[in-house]
Amino acid sequence: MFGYIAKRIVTGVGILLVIVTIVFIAIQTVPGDPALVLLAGNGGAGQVSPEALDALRARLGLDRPVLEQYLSYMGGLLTGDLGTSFQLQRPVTELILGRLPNTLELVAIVAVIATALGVFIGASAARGGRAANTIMSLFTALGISAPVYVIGTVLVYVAAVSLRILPAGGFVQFDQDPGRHIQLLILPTLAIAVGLTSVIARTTRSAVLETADQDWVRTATAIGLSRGQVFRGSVLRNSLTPVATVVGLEIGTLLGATVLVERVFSWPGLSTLLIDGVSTRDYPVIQGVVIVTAGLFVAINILVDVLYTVLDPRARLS
Amino acid sequence: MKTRSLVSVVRSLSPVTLVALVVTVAIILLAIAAPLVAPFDPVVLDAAGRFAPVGDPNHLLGADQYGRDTLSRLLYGARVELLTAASASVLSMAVGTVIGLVAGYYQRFVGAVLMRFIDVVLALPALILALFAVTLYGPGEATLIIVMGLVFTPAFARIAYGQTLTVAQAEYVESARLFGASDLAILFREILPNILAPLVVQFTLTVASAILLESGLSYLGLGIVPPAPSWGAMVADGQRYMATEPQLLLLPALAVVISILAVALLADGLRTALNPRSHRRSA
Amino acid sequence: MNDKPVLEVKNLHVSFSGGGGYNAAVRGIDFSVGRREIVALVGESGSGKSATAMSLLGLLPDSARREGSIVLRGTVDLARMSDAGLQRVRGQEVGTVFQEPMTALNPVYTVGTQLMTAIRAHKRLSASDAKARAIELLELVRVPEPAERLRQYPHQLSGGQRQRVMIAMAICSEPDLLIADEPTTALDVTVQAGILDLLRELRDTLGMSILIITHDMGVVADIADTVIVMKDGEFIEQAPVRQLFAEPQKDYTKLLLSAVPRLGESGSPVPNQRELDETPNLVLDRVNMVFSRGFRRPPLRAVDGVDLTVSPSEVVGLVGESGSGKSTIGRIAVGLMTPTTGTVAVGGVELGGVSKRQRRAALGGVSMIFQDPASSLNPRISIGDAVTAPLRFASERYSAAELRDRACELLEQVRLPADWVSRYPHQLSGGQRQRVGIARAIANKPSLLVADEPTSALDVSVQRSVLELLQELQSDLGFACLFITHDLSVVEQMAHRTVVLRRGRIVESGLTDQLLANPTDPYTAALVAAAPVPDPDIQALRRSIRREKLSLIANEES
Repeated sequence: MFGYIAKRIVTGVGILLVIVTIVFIAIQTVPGDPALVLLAGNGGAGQVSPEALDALRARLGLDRPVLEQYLSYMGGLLTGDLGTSFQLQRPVTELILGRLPNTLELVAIVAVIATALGVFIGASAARGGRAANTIMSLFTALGISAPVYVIGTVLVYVAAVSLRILPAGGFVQFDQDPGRHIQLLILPTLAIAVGLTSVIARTTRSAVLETADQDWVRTATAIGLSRGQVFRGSVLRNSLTPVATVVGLEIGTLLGATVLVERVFSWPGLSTLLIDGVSTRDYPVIQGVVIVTAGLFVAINILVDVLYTVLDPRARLS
Repeated sequence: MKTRSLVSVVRSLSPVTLVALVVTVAIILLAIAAPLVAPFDPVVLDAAGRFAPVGDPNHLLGADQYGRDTLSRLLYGARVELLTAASASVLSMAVGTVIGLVAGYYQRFVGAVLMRFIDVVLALPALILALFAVTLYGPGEATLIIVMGLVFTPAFARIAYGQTLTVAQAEYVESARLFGASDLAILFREILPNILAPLVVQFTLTVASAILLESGLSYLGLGIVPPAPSWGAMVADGQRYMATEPQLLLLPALAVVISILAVALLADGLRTALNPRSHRRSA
Repeated sequence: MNDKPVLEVKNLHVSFSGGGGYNAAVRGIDFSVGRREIVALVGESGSGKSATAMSLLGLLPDSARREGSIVLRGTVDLARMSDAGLQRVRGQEVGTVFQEPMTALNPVYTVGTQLMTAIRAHKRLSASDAKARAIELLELVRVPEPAERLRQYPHQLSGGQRQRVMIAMAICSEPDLLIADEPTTALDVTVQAGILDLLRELRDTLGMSILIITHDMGVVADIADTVIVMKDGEFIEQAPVRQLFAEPQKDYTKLLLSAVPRLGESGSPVPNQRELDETPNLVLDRVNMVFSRGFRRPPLRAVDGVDLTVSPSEVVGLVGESGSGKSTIGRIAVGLMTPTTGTVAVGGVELGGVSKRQRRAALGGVSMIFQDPASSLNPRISIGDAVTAPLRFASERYSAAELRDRACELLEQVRLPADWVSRYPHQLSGGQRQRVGIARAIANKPSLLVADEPTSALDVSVQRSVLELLQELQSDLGFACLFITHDLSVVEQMAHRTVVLRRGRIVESGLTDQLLANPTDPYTAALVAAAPVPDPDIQALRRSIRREKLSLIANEES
């Protein structure tokens, strides 16, 4: 079993390496002079002085041979150095670490709520009759179709502007004002959770329906177990693997959704860093965020794989 | 496994799916006909018509802060959305299917490498990858289509891979190989036609996801370049005035949700229709 | 002492929902099972036998409908019982054993967990008591090393062991009746013999009645006291076993019995000596096939030093159980697989040592019939296109009209209507699809044909006609044939010479008649002994011999 986990970790690290390399190559392949592209920015504001250009090139290391750039880049990564932001003149690592906890807070809370709720809804629908299934299908279809920013803005409109029961956005440190902190957490969490819950509910429902067709479920009934026992022990338990897979994959979408929602609600997570970075073409920041999110995704999926070995003994031996 | 005619498939669709199909087709037609149907040029400013309310004789669905006609902007927005979404979906379907087919058929080394590549693409959240591309290559339709094509390729590749693995074991594939069919002939004549159904469903889903993703980017101002209309940007604009002119927010929001919902429900219906076994009983 | 029958079924109707309405699967049948009686419910596919068995305990899908009365021990009617009531009956008073032990056991729980769940379903026992009982049960069903097994997962056990575990789960509460739905169909014939012996033993020691569902008349002859024949959901005939076999009353029963091949009844074909001396169509020389299984596992030696020859006009039977490597050899013979070591020569041309074009040319005269009618034809290609596929890929170019004519010709040769060229596979039955497969195999006028279990997936009444067709075609067209099968009676009917394969190795080979009558190798002897013969008296005699022969190879059944 540990061999399996080790193999997964190695694979994960490998993927991360490839991503990091691709990110590196991407900047090299930008059409034209990367430094010019990055400096000219939005709307190509005026002239760009040759000194600024040279300075940027030096800072990006573009004047050095490619291989040397790559090695120093990788070396930097290993020590946790993600470069320095153009705009803010501060180390990217520091910027990211300042914002990451806020994003992770949202991600974690949404993941837990959405998984619990989604599995419950999906499993219930699978056991229910035609009506329950149709209702669930329609609601979840709506849930996955409404973009996060639409739900967010509509929520702001309804809850904050019309009904005035919740604040429209903002942030307060938990230790400073826990009550308000939680209040500010509600809408963003809701906005993201709707989509994720719907996806998980759908996956759970189809996994349960498919498992319910399997022969061992009939065996469980034949040895005299009650419907509830059969469902819990032989259907639900066996459906967890596909659900776990989907949750792992959806983390990626979840991270993206969080970015959008943070913008809607002015939640100071990675999104501000990212979006401002894109508009100002602050490449080191973008690069840093991409690498960190990829790393997060890989790490979470390794955890999911480990969860697999618990859920499905066949995985342990492969 | 039954080979059914198009007519019989359509006839077996549930009412919800039929409605979804009709709505989708309607949106497509409206989008295509936008230049003919839209009352105004979507970028034209009209100082007199600023913040026109819904039902105004000049602006049926109102106008925004610059006096641009909402209805026209919605129609042209539909055009852009569908065009980019469809292009990206076609691109990812083509690339993903080929990757999945080849990986599934040639398992050993080629297969492993290809699927690892897929894993790499999957590891990057779609939105973030898109933002990355925009940083480097600038916003605009071309960038968007290529990035979205990349982002949605893994789903097709995985489906094609899984299906190919199963079908490639079938005896009729062995038979074809025995009698001298080239690998290419086997992939495209024996295997591909038998794995199409889930790919078609995925295509529909991908169109929905593409609209979702693209409008999100436009919301952030990093998608379609203004002043070309896009629903996401319209929502962003509308958010600024929602206290006083909520329709500026709600109308484009409604447009986005309805389109995506229609396509997603259509995908659901297709999946049930094309699946030999439909789940009608409870657990 | 209650002398009412254990089970009495009256006017049972079962129908399944589908295609917008309900399809009747069982149309009003009556039968009963007495104390300590083994009743066999026999029929081909679509007879409704499984539906009958599953309906007794309400194990049908929720959408199915059932009517009639099902009286247990003369006291309760299962058909009128609530779900809660049925739950008490299931496992405790009536146990069930299913056909596919691999899927009937939950893959994520250990054998021990599942067995103990069954034990504690109706009895309050502590975990340690349940475990002790579990070990006791595994010993009762003769699973070696029971304590070890409890810790293992289903996929770590062999097919026979899994089925024994299933039986243990079914009898743990000592039910009055055991329903066994095709319990040995998925198992090798040597393993099957053991399970049938076990079932009989349990009937004797536990005093249990058994309702066994099967399509195999040999199994019926081996184990049943009473036989009930079903067809298309209807009751055909019921009789004590000896009477049914000796004097069947209904036509269908007679048809069924005549279609079952009996070992020792027919003589094998005799080879044509003159042709044997010509260049063999197929020569396998010291062929080995080794599959690597990934990182830390020992490689699988599927074929181990096999020498095999097939001469013109000769039919060589390749006999083996699952995992014997016979299918692998078949694929090596037609060039679909390349052996790890050793040479394959087709029509005198050694496949490994020539150019690609020469190889293709040599293989042009080779053909194959596949086993599974459900997957041997591409569902999206018409029958006409399917049968002429070999010609499409050949070096000569044929016009569309020529292909169409040839397609009609081929269909007629296999006794199918020529206008079926435009039909699709899903419109044909299993037997008809196999005929199409045969037509495809003779399309390129092969000189060597490999038949891989061509009738194993077919109903017994259809098998006979397909085999006869093959024999006819072989004598008319004169191709050499490598006939792969696990069924000794089939090989007796078809093959001049037979080769017996075990774990990739040839253990014996010779003229079919002699090999079956006087096997020299213990494994061959065990195979012959284990093959059930559809005659109750003869089968009773064979049982004791069989037990002895099987014990000689018993250690490897793990």
